[in-house]
Amino acid sequence: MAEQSDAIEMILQDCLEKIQNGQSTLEGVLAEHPDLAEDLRPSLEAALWFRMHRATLDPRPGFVAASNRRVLEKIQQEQLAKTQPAPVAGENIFARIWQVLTGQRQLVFQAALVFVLLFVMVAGSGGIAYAAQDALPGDLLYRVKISLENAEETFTQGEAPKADLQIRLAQRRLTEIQSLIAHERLGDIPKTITMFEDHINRAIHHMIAVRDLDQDRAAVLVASMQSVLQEQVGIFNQLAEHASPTLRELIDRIVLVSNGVIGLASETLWTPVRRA
Amino acid sequence: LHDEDYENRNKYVWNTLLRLRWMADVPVVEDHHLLKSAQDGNTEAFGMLYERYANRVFRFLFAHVDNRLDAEDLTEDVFLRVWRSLPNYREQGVPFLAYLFRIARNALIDHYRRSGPVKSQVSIEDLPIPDGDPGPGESAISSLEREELRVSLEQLREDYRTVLVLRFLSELSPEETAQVMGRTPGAVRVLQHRALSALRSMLDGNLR
Repeated sequence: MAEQSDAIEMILQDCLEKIQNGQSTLEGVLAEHPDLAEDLRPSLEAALWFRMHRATLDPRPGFVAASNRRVLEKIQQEQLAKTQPAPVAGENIFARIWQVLTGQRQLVFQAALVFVLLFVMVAGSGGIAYAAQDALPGDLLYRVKISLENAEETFTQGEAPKADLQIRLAQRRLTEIQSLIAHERLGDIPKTITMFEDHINRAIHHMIAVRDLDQDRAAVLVASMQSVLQEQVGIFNQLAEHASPTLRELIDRIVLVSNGVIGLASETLWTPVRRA
Repeated sequence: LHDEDYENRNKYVWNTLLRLRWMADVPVVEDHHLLKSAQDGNTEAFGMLYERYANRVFRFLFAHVDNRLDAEDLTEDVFLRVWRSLPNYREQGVPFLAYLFRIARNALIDHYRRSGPVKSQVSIEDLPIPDGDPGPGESAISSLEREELRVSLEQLREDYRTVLVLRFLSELSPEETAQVMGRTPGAVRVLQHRALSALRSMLDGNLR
């Protein structure tokens, strides 16, 4: 009896593999085992039903790429933290101050950059920082623009303002992409899309934090993000009508990610949180 | 690249190879090569493993938690745990995929401890239909289908649910599933058969 049962398990596995590999169909494998067809059919049908629903549990478009970057960033931060020596008691005061400064080197440099850029902005309106506002990816001044944005991000306090900022930056990336398309600079578009995805993902994570504290505020932010993305999707759909195949592929990615996020917002953020 | 080059690879070669992975003539990099490289500290190799398996891990987690964002956070957490434990990983013991899903199961258990398990024994009729337009990225039909799948899973015994999710959503082989669940491949085949029968009976019941 046990042997017969074991044989059925093996045959079931064999049938599943044949169907999965496209070597046969449900009816095909059942025809190969007419004596066991009655036992096999329910299990095979259940397996097919299950597999048919698999796509409903797929991640939203753009998630894997964006989260991959986030994970690698965290890993790199951890590696960096490991390589920095711990302060040693009794060291001279200047050495300890230097350790503190180098331990937060990025923050110190960012702050220094902010002061320099603020000075440039204040001292010479119409100067470099001002000019950088119109810079596009690939331009010489684009790094200045991004540094200013990073500084703004550093000094923005509170989850809601942070989410709002990320939505604005995501929108800015999309308008930059439209300018790049107008200037036929397609080579700079992929990395700008990646930056757009990062802003959107950061916005979502800030919005989750807001949702847990203030659902009304979160709803306003979600509506704002949906409105921005829907408007941009409309623009990109129009651009796609006249686009080359290469450009269309890039636009498709933007539209896919935007629509995925609009759907996610409706599904998860807009509705009240379900607690177990 | 020749085999001996693979054996004597250095970071520079690997990074170049990984950057060029989209080119058709670059051979598929096997998991164990990526793992070895990641163990040597190459984050780019680990990123490739992430791209390769994040979908499967996500599906496994999303099948067990009740919202997408928790599944997203958990997916990242799983891979961070994998990275941190890489120095202790020895391939001879457990294949990478089984190792990855063991960590995913542990992360899920920790998640349950923090927030409690998902609701069980919920009828599909009791589930709220999402308000508003789900948007073109997610149709109302796919949303309902997902709920239908989730309700079916929640009605199954824990080991039935695990074997079905690992086998049909995360696409693990019976051998890999056995490694994750700590059973023999034969026991997994038996469990799979029983789980499918139970699922079929339940679907019949729901349709009636």
